[in-house]
Amino acid sequence: MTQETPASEAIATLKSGLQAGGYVCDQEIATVVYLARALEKPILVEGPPGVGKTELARATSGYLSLPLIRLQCYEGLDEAKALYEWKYGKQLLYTQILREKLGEFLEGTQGLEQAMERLHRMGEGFFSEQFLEPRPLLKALQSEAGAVLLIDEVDKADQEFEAFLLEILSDYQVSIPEIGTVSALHPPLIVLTSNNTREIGEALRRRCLHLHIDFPEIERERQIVETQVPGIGDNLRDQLVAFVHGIREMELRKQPAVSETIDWARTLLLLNSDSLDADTVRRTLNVIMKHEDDAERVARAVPDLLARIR
Amino acid sequence: MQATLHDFIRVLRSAGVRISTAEVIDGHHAVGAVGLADRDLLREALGTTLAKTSEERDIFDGCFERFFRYHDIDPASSPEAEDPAGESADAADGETTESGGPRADATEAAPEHAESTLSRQLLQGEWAGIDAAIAAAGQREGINRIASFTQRGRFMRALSDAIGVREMDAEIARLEAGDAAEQATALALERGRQVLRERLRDHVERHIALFATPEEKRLRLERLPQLRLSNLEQRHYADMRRLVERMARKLASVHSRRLRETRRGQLDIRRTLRSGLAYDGVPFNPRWRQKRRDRPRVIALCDISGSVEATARFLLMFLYSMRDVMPGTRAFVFCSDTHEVTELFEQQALETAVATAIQRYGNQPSHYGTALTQFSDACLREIDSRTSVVVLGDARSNYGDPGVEQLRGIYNRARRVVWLNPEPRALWGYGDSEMPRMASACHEVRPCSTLRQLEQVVDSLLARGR
Repeated sequence: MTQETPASEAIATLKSGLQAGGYVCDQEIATVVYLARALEKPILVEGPPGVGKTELARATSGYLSLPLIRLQCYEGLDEAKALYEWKYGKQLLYTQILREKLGEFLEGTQGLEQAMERLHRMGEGFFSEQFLEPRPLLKALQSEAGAVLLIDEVDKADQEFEAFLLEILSDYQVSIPEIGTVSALHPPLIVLTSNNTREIGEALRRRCLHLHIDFPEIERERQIVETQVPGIGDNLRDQLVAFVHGIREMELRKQPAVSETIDWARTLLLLNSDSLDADTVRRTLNVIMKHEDDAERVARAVPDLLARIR
Repeated sequence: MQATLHDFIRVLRSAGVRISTAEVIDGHHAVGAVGLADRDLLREALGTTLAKTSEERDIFDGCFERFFRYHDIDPASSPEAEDPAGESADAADGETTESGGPRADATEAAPEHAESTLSRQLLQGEWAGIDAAIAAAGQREGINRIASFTQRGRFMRALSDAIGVREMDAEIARLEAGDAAEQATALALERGRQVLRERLRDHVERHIALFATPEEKRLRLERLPQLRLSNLEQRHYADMRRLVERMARKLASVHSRRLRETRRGQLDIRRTLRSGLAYDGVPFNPRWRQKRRDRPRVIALCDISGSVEATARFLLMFLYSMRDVMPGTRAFVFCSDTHEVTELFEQQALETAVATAIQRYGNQPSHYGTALTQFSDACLREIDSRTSVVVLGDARSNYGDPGVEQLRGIYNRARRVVWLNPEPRALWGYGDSEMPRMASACHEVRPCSTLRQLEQVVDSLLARGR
């Protein structure tokens, strides 16, 4: 009963567009990106590390030819680093330079009260937008043509910061006490990523479209390796991807992700291998296995795994 | 479509997916954006707007498959889909029966004998029309509010009355009294009536499967935390397990945040002056006092004799679901001899570990004196001012030595000794219960017979684990 509709066409275009930019995605991912643009809602991307969550934002910004503004979250991140800061230095400098002007301006006033009165009439002066240093969030709101705002690893930030994000996520605006509310000129496409080290709050989830990216199926991973490592031979590529999938079935502390598959492919290409054999695997295992005991366990299973991919 | 989407959201909600009004609106927008033509597209669109965690997404996928199998939403293939009543009409199902089913009877029976609409439709094999009538009747009778299996009979009667089965019965009776042709018609109608009955039952049961089962489950899950743990049966364990995990996750996330809490507003003068040295002694960088919270160390000692077993099971389950926030938890079980089961829990899955512990060490009368002596021999040295000791038992020592002295030894060293008693407070001190004497060597004594109370205990362990 599948029919061509504007939506499914647009999604297909989006999918091939992302693919042209080097990001191989499936129907689900493309649908979510499409919806995010259609409904003007942020995307919350979850999934194990190394499956291309950050890459999605980068590819999307490339495809839409919008600037990518990135905010890396960490514990202790606060408004001053995420949203805006006053340019203290500039404020100080200006007061110094303008000292005489101020003297003239205040000439003839009697007493502190009158001087204050006159200063009040001057307006905000040093707390205006000229002295505002925009940080990623404000930058994204101020960008003329729109932007892709990547809020990376939001689970690493404190819970309070999450609450602070809510206003931006739902209304595309922020309140700055000294100036007022700044709304987006053009709503940016917001992508949040999370590795689930901490449970993300219900309120934040509710404002986003949820997308879970898991390890790709074998066919898609082949495509990814092909786009990312163009020089690799078909034979090696198929073996390599099958081998990594074999490893993922084992019980390990950290399973090799897509980024590791790509690294491994590059390594093997550099070593001029054209097929996998036990020796090459053992020598290059440290590229995909990042824990000592995992590496040992896999090294023991190499003959088995190799036998299975043949 | 709007009504269908609302029904679907009700199904999701009762299956445990939390969906707010804002998300319902998003869902509508999403459907508007992708249209209804492509089922996969619709699933992705609704999935991303309505389900907000991967667990919810799994539930969503299951519900979607079940729900939209019955609720054909493709406007092109079924004309009924236009009106909200047509949502339940299962066009595909109708067609299969139409071709092979009771249609054949109509050759010998002449439809012109039939008077009521239903009879005529039956004789002509117009099942699509009949299905639409059933669906419309169901809508009027509020079948999507069906709450349990016990209502099946009522709904079937109501539906068959609504589509006019009674009139048809009267007609069959009239035709049977007539000539041969009329009798043949009656026979055909009688056969059609059987099929119709099946169809009605199908319709009602489908709705029970969709709406009632989750509803019942939700009620049960709401009630479970308040039930006495000792009254629970085997069949509740899976649900309890899930509840325990959910509670543990909630507590863990609340308390892991508190571990980093700083006490804002209290100036740390020493550190402020120190950091001011760089700015000529001007206290440029105020430093605040930090509150340090240590992770609590918990040692649990559980009576697993028959009377307390059920509570012990869930206490152990709870403690070990909290491993992330309370690493280094040790657990001991006893009837008369004390055994450490910490390792058991590290090696095995929770449920099997609990079962093994109870099977291996349980089923004996309890003797508190021996148990506490062995316990204090085993780990008194490890108990220090950071350790909380949780004892679970009914303090019924069968008139033997209750071991109050040993407990006092532990009391003097530990940060806290909490005694959990699954018996209601009124029974403490009666018969062989030594609870009042035991209480003198505890910092805190709590009754603990429901999951809710258990949750409060673990919460307080974490809150005071500084």
